[in-house]
Amino acid sequence: MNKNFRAAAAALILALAFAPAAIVNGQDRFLGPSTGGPPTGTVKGNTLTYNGTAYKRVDGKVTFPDCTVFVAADSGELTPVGTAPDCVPAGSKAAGGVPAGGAVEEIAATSQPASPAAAPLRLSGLMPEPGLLLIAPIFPVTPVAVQASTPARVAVQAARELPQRAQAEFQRLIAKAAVDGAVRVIVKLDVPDVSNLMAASAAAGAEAQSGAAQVSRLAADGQLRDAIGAVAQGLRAELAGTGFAVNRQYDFIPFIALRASPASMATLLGSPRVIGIEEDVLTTLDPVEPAGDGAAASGESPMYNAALTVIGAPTAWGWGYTGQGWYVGILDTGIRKTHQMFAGKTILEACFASGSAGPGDCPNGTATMTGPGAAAHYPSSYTSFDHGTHVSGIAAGNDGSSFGVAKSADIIAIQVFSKSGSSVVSWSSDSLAGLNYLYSLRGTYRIASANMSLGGSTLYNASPCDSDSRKAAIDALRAAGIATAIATGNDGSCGGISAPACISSAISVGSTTVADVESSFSNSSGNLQKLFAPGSAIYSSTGASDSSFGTWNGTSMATPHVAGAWALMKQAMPGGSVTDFLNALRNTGAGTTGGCSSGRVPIPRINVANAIASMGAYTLTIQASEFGTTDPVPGPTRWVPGAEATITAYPAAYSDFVGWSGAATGKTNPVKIIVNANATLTANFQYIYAPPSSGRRVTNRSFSQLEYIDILTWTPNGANQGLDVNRYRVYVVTNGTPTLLGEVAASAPLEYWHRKAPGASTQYLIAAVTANDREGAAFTITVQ
Amino acid sequence: MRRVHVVALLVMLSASAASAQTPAAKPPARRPSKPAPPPMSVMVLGHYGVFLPSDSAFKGIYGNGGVFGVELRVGSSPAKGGPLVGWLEASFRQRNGSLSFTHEATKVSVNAIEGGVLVRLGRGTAVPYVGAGGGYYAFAETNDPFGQAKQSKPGYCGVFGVMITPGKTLVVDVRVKYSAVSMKPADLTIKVGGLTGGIGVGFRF
Repeated sequence: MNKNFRAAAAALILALAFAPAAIVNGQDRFLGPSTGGPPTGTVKGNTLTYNGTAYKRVDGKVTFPDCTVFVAADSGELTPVGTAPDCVPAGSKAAGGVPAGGAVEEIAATSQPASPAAAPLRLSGLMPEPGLLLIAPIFPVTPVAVQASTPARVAVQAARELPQRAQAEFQRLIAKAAVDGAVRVIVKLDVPDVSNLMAASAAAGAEAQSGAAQVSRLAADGQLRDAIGAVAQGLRAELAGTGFAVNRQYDFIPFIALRASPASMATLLGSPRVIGIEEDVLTTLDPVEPAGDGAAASGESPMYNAALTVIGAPTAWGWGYTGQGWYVGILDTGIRKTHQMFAGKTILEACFASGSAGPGDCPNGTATMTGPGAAAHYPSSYTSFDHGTHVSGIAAGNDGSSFGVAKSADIIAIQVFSKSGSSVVSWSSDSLAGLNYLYSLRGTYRIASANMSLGGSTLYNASPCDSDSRKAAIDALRAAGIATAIATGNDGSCGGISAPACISSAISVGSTTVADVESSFSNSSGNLQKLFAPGSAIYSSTGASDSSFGTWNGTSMATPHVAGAWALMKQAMPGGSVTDFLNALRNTGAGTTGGCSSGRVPIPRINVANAIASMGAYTLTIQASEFGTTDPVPGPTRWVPGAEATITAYPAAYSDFVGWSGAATGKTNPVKIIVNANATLTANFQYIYAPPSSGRRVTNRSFSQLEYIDILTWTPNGANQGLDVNRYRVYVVTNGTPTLLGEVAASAPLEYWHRKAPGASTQYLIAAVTANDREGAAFTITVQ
Repeated sequence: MRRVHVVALLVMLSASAASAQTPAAKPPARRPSKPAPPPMSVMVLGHYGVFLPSDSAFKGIYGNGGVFGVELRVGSSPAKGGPLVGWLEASFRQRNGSLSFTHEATKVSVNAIEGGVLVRLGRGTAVPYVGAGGGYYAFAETNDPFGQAKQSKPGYCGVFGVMITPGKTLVVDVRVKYSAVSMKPADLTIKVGGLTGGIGVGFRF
C-alpha cells in the first residue's frame, strides 16, 4: 500500500474521470514518452515541456532520462529515433541505484495490447504487460500496477515514499474530493534547503531593527520567499488545467492552500514538489461562558481584572515592565479599536477571512486585507463577534482604570474568522496566513507574542499534533523570539487539548480561577499543556460600545494573560528566547488544584513577576535624554549575571546621539555592556540647530545668454557645539517639496551658488548634518 | 528673406557692371592707336579692421577686436568708368571673453556676407567713396555654462572710405564700415553690428 498507493489512487480517480483502461508496470524506470497517438509536448525555444517536466532540446532532439531519443518538432510532436549511445538511464544502478523520491508517470492505456512497434519505447528491465504503456520523466519509481477497464490516457502519479500518515491523508482527501467534487487542502511544498533558509530568515530579524540589519533581514526573507515562490509556481504550473484554485500562498512557510479537484489531487499526489497534505479545516472559537465558574478575588473592584494581581502583573508594572514598546498579535475575531481600552494605542490591522462562500469576508469584500479597518469585528448579530475585543483587552487594554496584562503594549489585530451562518469560523489556511503575516512584521515591529484563543474539536493527548501546518509558522515565530500562546479548549476534558494548542512548539494555556482551581471547562493534557492562567470570571472590553465590558469564562481568556505576560518579559529581557521565558514561567508558577490536576503532572499557573525576577539578578536602568530614545526602551531591564546587553540609541528628528554616560561612555552605537551589577545607562541626545543663513541673487551673462545665480551663505550655529557637524545640505523648495541641491563640507567656505536659479523668488533650506548622517533643523531663506 | 537679399546683391552688382560697361562702349576719340583701357575693373582685397561694437555688453564681455575680410569689387575702370562699383565681401569676426559674473570662458563668432554699391566721389589715385548695402550675419556664442547659442539674420551696412591705386594693379583701401543687425539667439536681444575701421590691400585686374 505504501509503495503503490499514490499511483493506484490517482489512476483510480482519473479512470473514473476518463474511463479507459490504465495499466501500469513500474518495475523499472521507463522514462520516455509513450504513444497512443503521437506523444506531444510543448516546445518553447530549446525547451520541451512534456508531462509537466522540462527537457533541453538539442539539435531538435530530446534525450529522455531512459536514454530514448526523440525528435521534438516545434509543434511539440515527438518522434522516436533511437537510443542515446553513451547514455546511462536515470536511476539505474550504474547511475547510483534507485534514489529515494517520487515519480510522475503518465499512462496511455488501451484495451488492446500495445505492440513494441506501436510504442517504440525502450524498457530496461521488465516489459510492460499487454496494454501497458508507461511514461515517467525523472523520478525512479517503485513497482506499481493499476488496472483499469477501459481505454484511456490516464495520468498516474507513481509512488514516492511519502510518510504513512501523509499517504493516509491523501487517501482520505482523494476520496473526499471524489465525493464532493473538490476539497480544500493545505499542501506542504518540498522547497530545497528550506530549513536553512527559514533559520536564516528568523535569525536575521527578530525584532525592530534599522540600517544594515534590516537590509540583511530583507535579503534573507527575500531568499526564503523566492525559494518558496518558485516551488509554488512550479506546482501551479503542474496543476494547470486540473481545475484547482489557490486559496492562499505563503511567503515564509513552505505551504500553499488550494481548492483541489480530483484531477488536481492526482497531480498533487505525484508532484515532486509536494511532501505533505492536510485538509484545510474549520476551527471554531473556544466557546465562552458568562462568569460563574470562579469569581473575582475578594476585595477587588468589580471593574478590575482580579487575575492581574494573581499573575503578578502589577508588581511587574511597578518595576517598569508594562509592555511598553512591544506588540501583541491577536489572531481572533477582530477588534473594536475605538473601545476606550485601546485609546492611545497603536493598533495594526489585518484580515485573512476566506469566507464560507464568495470572495471573502474582509471589510473590503475579499479574503485578504491589511491596514486601518481591516480587523473591524463583524456585526453583533454574529455570535462571539467581539471575542477578539475581549481577548485584546485582557492582553493589552488600558483605559486608565481597567487594564490588560501588558497595559502599555500595542496590538496587532488580525481577523482570521469568517462568517458562518450566525456564527464565525476560521479556516486553518486563514490562521496560517495570520501567523505568516505576523512573521512578516517581525522586522518592523517588536512583537512579543501571538495569541490564538481558538481551537478545533479533536483533542490530542498522547502526542503533539505536529503535522498541523501551523507548526511551521509557530516554529518560525518562535525562532524569531515570538511566542504563540494557544488556548487548550473548553471541552472540560482531562484527556487532551485541542488543535492547534497541541502543537509542541506552541505555548498551550489552560484556565484556572483566581484561586488557582483549574476551571471546570478547561481541557488539559499532562503531555502537551504548558501553562495555566486565569480564565474564569475575566473582566475585559466587549464590543457593544466603546465603553462596554463583560466578565467571561474560557481558556480564550486565560491565553491572553500569557500573551500579555510575554510582552512584560520581553521588555524586561529583550534578548530572552521563548524557551527562556517559558522555563521561567514554568519554574516560578503556582500550583493548581481541582479540575484535572489529580494524578496529572503539575502544570504551573503563571506569575509574571516571579518569572521576571527569576530571569535577571541585575537591573540595568536605561535612560534617554531629550531628543531621543533607546532600544530597549528607557526603563529598568533585567539581566542575568554576565549577560551582554545591547542598547541602541535612536535620536529623534533633527537630533543626534552624542554619547553614553553612566554604565558606558563614548559614542559607540549600539553599545554592548556586560551586566555584572545594577547600573544606569543614559543615552544623550542633542538637537541640531539650523545655521543662520542669507542669500542674494546676481546676474551672470554672456553676450546672448543669461542666468541668475542665488548665492547662499551661512554660519555655524553656536548651539551645535558638541555635535560633530561635518557638512551642510542645501535644498531648493519647489511647490512645497524640498529637493537636495548639494552638500557643502563644514571645512569649506560656507557658501553655495545655485546656478540657473528660477527667475521668480526661490526658497531654500539649509541644514547642518552630523558625522552620523543626522540632519538638523533647516534655516529657510527666500531669494529674489 | 535670405534669397531676397542675395538677389538684391546680384542686382546691385549687375547694375554696377552695366554702368561700368556703358562708357567702355564709346570708341576712343583721340588716341585710336593706343589700346583702350579695360572697360571694367575687378578688384580683390583683403581687409583687416578693428571692430567697435554697437552693443556695450559685447564690449564688456569680449572687448573690441579685429575683423578679417575678403572683398570683391566690380566696377568701371577708374579712368573711364562711372561712379558705381559693386561690392561683395565676406568677413570673419571671432573673440574670446569671459562671463560677466563668474568670468568663465566664452567665445563668440560673427561671420557676415555683405554687399552693395559704392559710389566713387572723384577720380585719380585716391578716390573717396561711400556705399551702402545689406548683409547676412551668422552669430554663434559658446561657453560651458550655457552651451551654444546661434542665429543668422539679415542686416544693413554703410561704408565710407578712400581707395588708393598707386599703380596699375595695386589697390589700397582705407575705410570705415558700420553694420546694424539685431537678433535674439537665446535669452537676450543683442546688437551684433558696430563700427569697423580698417585697411584693405588688393589687386585690380
